[in-house]
Amino acid sequence: MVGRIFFVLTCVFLAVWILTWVFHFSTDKSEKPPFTLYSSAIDDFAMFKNDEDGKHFSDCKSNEYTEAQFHGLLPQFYCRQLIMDNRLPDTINGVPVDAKFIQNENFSFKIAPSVVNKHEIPLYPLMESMSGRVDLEMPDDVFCITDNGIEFVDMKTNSVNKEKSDLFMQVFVQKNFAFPAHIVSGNPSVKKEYDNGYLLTDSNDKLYHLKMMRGRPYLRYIDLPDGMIPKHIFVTEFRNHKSLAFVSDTENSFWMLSAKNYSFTQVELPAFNPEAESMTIIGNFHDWTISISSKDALCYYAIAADGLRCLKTYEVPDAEPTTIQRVGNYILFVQLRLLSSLDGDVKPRVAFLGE
Amino acid sequence: MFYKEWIKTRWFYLVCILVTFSLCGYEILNINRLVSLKGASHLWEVAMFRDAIFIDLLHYVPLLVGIVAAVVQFVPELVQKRLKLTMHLPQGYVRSLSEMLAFGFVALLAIFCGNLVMLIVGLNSVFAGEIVSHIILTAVPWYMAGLFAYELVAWICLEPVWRRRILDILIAVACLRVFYMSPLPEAYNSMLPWLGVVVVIGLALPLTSVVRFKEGRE
Amino acid sequence: MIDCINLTHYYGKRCIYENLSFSVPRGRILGLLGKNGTGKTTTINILSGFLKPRSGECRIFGQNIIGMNPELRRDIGLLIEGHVQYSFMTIRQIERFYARFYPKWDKNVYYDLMSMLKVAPNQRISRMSCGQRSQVALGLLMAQNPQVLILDDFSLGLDPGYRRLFIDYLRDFVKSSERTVFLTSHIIQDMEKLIDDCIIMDYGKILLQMPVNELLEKYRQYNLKLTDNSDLSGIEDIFHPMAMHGNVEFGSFLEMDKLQSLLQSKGIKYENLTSQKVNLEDAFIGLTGKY
Repeated sequence: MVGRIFFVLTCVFLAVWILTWVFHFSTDKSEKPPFTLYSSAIDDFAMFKNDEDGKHFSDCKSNEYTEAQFHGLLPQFYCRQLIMDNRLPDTINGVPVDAKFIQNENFSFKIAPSVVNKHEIPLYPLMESMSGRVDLEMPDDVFCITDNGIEFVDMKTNSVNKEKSDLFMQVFVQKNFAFPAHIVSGNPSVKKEYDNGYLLTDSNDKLYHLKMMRGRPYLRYIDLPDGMIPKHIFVTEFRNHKSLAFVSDTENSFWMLSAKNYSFTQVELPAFNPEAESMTIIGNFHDWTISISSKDALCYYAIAADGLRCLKTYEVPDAEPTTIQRVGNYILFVQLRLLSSLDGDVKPRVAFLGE
Repeated sequence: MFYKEWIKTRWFYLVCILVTFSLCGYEILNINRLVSLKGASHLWEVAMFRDAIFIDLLHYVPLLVGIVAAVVQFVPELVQKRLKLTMHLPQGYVRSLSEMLAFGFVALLAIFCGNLVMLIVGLNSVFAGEIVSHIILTAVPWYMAGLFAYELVAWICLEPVWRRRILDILIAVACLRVFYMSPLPEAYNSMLPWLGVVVVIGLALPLTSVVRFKEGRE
Repeated sequence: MIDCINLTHYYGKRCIYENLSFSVPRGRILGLLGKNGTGKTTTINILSGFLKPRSGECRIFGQNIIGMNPELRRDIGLLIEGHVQYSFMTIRQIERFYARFYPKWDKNVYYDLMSMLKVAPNQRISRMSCGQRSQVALGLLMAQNPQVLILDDFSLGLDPGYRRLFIDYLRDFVKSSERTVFLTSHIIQDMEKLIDDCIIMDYGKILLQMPVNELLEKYRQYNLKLTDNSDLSGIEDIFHPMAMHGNVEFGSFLEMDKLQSLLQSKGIKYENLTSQKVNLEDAFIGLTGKY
């Protein structure tokens, strides 16, 4: 009896899963959206698309541009091209510029749910932030934050470095860090300009900045805006040293943490959930273009670098579902997938689509 | 009943123990060799940042072991319909078959647990507990697939009707595919309890074939 | 001891038989005889609970075989076609395996029989000859000491020596303590030494059901020479007439005088009519035909 019920349930599960897969495999087409950046020169989004008919340069108002004009609209982004063409302006938006200044201020930032939702191993290498050398170096140990403290484990011997752990532990105790940590975030890679260590929240969601400077621990408590509870932290380490991190909170607000005075500025964006939406930021000294894409929407926001107010938004119109897709969604009103582009997990994801 | 299963399958299980433990041992030796070649830090880093789990060789081993275990145990019962002898024994046939399945399941479970313990001990000598649990959590679905494959192949072997057996094979392939959907480490963490439930309830599946056999479906 | 009532079974649309009823009283041996493919194994399968008949039911010890208390099977011995046993075991292992299931187990009977086989106790059954395997299967049945035996075509694959040996042992075993036997066979030779009652099956029907003694007593094989072109086929009570150069051979249950009046009434001209009693095998062939 149990076997029969199990058999029937298994068949139903497999049938819905396979049909969903076959349906999407045969009907889904992904169209690459045009490359879009905010141009302060026209106060509009400039777009570049490369398809079978060749390259198209335009803006939201459907004005067409030549390739050279297009480069001129985005002088910071095409800085190197303009230098080559000997067309780099002396001032942009009233600010005197040169190549070095522009390149120093430019940054790009990308986060995707698949990375945010990844199962990471809770071990973190803490680099020397002030080694005095140009190149960063991976340490021989990693730290982990346990329920009771911080421990450094030596990778060669796979044993706890008691001395170093105690040294750091003293500082954590001094700063009233409540173990264990909720968030530990950093960029453990030597392929970056400099190292800014880690941002941590303790079990009371208080925020701390951890670094190692000349072998000594550096732990600083950071005041949070009222009522703000960080949920995801992304340490930036951009060349301009202005920001320490981007932070998204439990209300899905998006913040920039300043590296200079540890102050928070909210970025004027609608709710952004890093667990379900991807974000790219291409920034320069004047403005940032932020794109947020979710399963069924893609939106661009122009943000003023100074004050982080929203200058302009552009929502990419949704592609109309084809007749086959509409009929398919009607027939397959229950869809089941095991994989998702949002994370690497395998688990049943059921969608009810009755139209 | 256990006596019969033991006589029938002891050589297989002996070979199985030798092979699976040798493979686990080989993987551990291999990791230690890499440590001496490239240094422990390198291995830790590829584990932490590049999704390496070092025991990829074992990916399909439990699956194969499960399939062969069921074949070795149940095909001799099917040749010349020898199963009739078992079902004629003076105890309920469901009980007889449950005992046979329990034997195979427990034997596999013991071997798989042994494998995992060996891996845990071996990995612990090189890696921190966090990395070890990361690797083991990645491997557990493979071992569950082995157990489920054993049940599914038993189900297919015991099925008396050939046409239905082909359908069963297709279903089994689809079922086992679920265990191999993602190569990413820890991809099955949230699914593991469910897979566990499926593997336990799956023991009832071969019994449906036996009921059909008993009814004389051909 | 064994009662089958109105068994009807089909494989798909092919009728195996309809309304087969028989019973085997305590101490009797019933043989179900038929050529290959007439439904002998089907009947065994129904009787041993491996097949649900389309309709009808089988009872052993008064209990319907479907849903029978499994413990009752201690007293039912089953021999599967081809003397199939767990061939991965040795003769010692298989004895130890079965012994646990049967409280009346008598291993001496088994080992006595095995000692005559001249095989080592640790030889696997799979490496034995068919004849030796039949002795193992018989030894296990005897050690089980059941009240009822169901034997499916035990003569299959046995050379005459082993077949005779099997029959002698079996008859002795059965008759010594009033056991009840239902068996099937497609080889009829030697069978009259063993069975008390017989059912002879043809494709899709039952030809005959009677005690063997009565069959041998009543059945006659006739020979005659036809003097005109008449045809005997299709006449009731005359089985499978075979003509060769005008000489016809056929079987019948009619006595000589009754047969003569039957032929007369049909207007058949003949001469040299002779009759003779025959053994069970000839009667079987006469009843089922050579083809």
